[in-house]
Amino acid sequence: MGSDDSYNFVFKVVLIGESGVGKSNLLSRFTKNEFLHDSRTTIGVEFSTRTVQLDNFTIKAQIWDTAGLERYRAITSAYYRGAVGALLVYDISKHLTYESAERWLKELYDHADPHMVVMLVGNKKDLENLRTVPTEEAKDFADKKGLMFMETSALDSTNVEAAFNEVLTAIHKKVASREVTRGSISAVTLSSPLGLTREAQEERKGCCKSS
Amino acid sequence: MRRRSSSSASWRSSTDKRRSEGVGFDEFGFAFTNRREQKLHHRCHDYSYPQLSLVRVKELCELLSYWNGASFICKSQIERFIRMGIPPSLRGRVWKCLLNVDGVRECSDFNYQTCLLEVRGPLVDLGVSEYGILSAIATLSDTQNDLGLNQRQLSGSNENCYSIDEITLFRQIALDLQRSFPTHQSLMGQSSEAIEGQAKLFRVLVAYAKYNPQVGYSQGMSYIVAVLLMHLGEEEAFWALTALLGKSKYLAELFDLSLTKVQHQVKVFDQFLKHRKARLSKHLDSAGVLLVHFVMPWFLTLFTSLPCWDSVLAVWDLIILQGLQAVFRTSLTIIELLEPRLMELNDEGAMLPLLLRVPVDMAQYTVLVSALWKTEVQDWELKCMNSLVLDESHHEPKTEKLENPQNMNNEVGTENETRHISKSGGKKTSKKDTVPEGVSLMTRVMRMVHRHLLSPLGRQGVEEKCSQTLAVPRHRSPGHVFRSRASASFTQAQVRLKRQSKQKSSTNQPEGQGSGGEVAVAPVTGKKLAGCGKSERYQQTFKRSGTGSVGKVAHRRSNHTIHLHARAKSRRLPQNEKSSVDQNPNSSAILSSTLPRSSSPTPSSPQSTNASQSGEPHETINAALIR
Repeated sequence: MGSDDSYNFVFKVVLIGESGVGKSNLLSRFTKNEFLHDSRTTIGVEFSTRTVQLDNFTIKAQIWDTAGLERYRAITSAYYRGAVGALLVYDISKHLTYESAERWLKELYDHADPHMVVMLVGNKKDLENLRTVPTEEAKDFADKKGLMFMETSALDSTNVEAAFNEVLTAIHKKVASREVTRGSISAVTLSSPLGLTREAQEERKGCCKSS
Repeated sequence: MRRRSSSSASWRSSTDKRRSEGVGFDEFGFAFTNRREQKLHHRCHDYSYPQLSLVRVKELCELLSYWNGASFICKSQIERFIRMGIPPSLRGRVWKCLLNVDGVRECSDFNYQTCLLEVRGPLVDLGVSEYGILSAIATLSDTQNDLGLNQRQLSGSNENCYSIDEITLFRQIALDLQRSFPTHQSLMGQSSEAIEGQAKLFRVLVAYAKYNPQVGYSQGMSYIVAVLLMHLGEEEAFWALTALLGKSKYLAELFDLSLTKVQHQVKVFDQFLKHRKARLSKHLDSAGVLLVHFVMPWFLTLFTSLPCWDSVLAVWDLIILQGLQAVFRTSLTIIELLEPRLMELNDEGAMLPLLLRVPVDMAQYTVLVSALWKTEVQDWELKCMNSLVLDESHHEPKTEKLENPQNMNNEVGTENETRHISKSGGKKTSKKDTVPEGVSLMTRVMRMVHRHLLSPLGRQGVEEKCSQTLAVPRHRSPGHVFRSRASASFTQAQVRLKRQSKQKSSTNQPEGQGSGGEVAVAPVTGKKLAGCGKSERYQQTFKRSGTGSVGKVAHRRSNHTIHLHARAKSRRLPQNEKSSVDQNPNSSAILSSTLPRSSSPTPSSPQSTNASQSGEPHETINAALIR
């Protein structure tokens, strides 16, 4: 939480997707390296952070785990505020959760920064024998939509780390090239030249120490 | 399809076996887990709730056996017991009495058992049973899938007796059964008790969705029903739920299909926090913490995410006694407890986890529940804030938002409520008191403005006034009620005074009037009235419209009192002005938004207030809005 070391960037990443696809477990696997067989229904939002080292930068990832139930979407716009990345999660064993990806994507682009990094994530890869969503199909869809793509298993940790790290790296790249223009956390002064960004980082470090 | 579900089930059950081996449960039925998992589950097993003496338990039993929901004495007695701490073994009976479960069932023409029989058809056709939740989830998902693929072709010829909506409903409920209190004995794993527990939970939730399609099933409800089922029988839990979600006193203003109501209540709470905790509210704001993120889960699951279960149950006792007001009260208490820590933090990433997962040392019974009883929240405050939010959304250009407040305003309104309740056979009055709503809006906003002017610096003056008020012998004439309501702006000072006097001696508080010296605070009197079934309506009509002769007198008096105090304050204001604004930055904002319109009524006499309101088109709009 507040105990993290100093960091260069804060990236807010949201986890979205249908109810029951394993968003909360992806979060707990990535941030705590835990998998709870009996996790609780997410009401509204859950929240966790993890600091990762990418190249020479320390990045603090703020991961927001949202409720998947349809009616909660009425308030999801509040969750998307300031997000620079998103993992759109579906369950490879439930085709319907994959079909709704398009709706989620629209939702996302309606409310969030259109330049944000989005990865389509097929979760529950461990349930290979129950698979109903072929990898190729999902990959094609992702390519068509310009999304990154990966299949993960929060249960056996397959690709969880990789998925998050790829997203964070991509965000970092965009930030460095200043492709993203607005809607990010104060630490990421996206529109400013590099020097200014440094300044913002320094500031951030200072305030972090004080907390 | 079969293979799928069975393999998925076995994958789960192996882990369940591991877990259920030698697993122990605490006195409330939560599984002891190892340290690490305990942290993940965010649950504490060390309880600190007070034990009631045998004599008291006997007294409570007696009270419950003679329970009469309409009785004023019963209400105040039960409040006294809730303050002392209800013994877990009697909690179910207390809730049943307070929610009038039997009465609600008798008044309704809905039959729970018949409903379940009707639901059985679709379930059998779908090939699922509530006794095999995991395979049910798999089957429902597959059916949903298949139907989803052929949706268009199917729409014409639907020979099955289930609809896509029903499948979605069943599936969503089934999905949440094992995800609500996953470590509670009654829902955990595959033991026969858990299977039965999940089945009951499923049935009650499905029946409620059928009973009230306007609300249906919303995530969060599974937590509420699970708690009810821990204390009541299946059908009792169902009727308790209808009472909780159906009555505007309780949570009718929180649950609806689109979550607009809860969003509105979060806004009301936002205003309320600005008003009560201006500095903290500003701090949260500047850190970018949105209230909706943590308040909404509190509201929708009624604080069941708190780590200490004895505290959760005590909060529930209060909610079942006082309704929505207690929900606000608890939220405020938690935020107040966290205030010192929050003020030290500056970023959302550090603050939000604290609010989403309230630390154990703040949630313990001895900490949270004692603080809860010390926190005062008055009905009129919430109504003020409600009006403010409605007013704000009224000025927003979106027509969409204009419609919402109407639905939401059941707290003060009655027509919508009638619509909601009609199904359960409620007999509510309505439509009579449509016109003068603007009047009450005005007075409410005025009261709030005055409170802002008065607090926190005008307290010395207030306490003088207050001692006068307290000196008046307390008898429950309507005039008194309203006069005291008018002096509500002094509540805090009164409370302080009250506490002081309580410390000195607690002898001169007649017990029948309320528990533990709570009496001195006027709006509590109002609240008690409100608690008494029919008189609730009576009292609301009364206060709002001021149509009855007594009401008018009271109204006049109330305005008059405020007026006097306001003048007293305005003399004091100049030297305090600056710091008052500093401490309460919101007050200026509210003033600027309300005063231009109320500038003429504020300093004038009540008669002219009424006159100006009836003539002013803007107020009429407000009145219409509130209806």
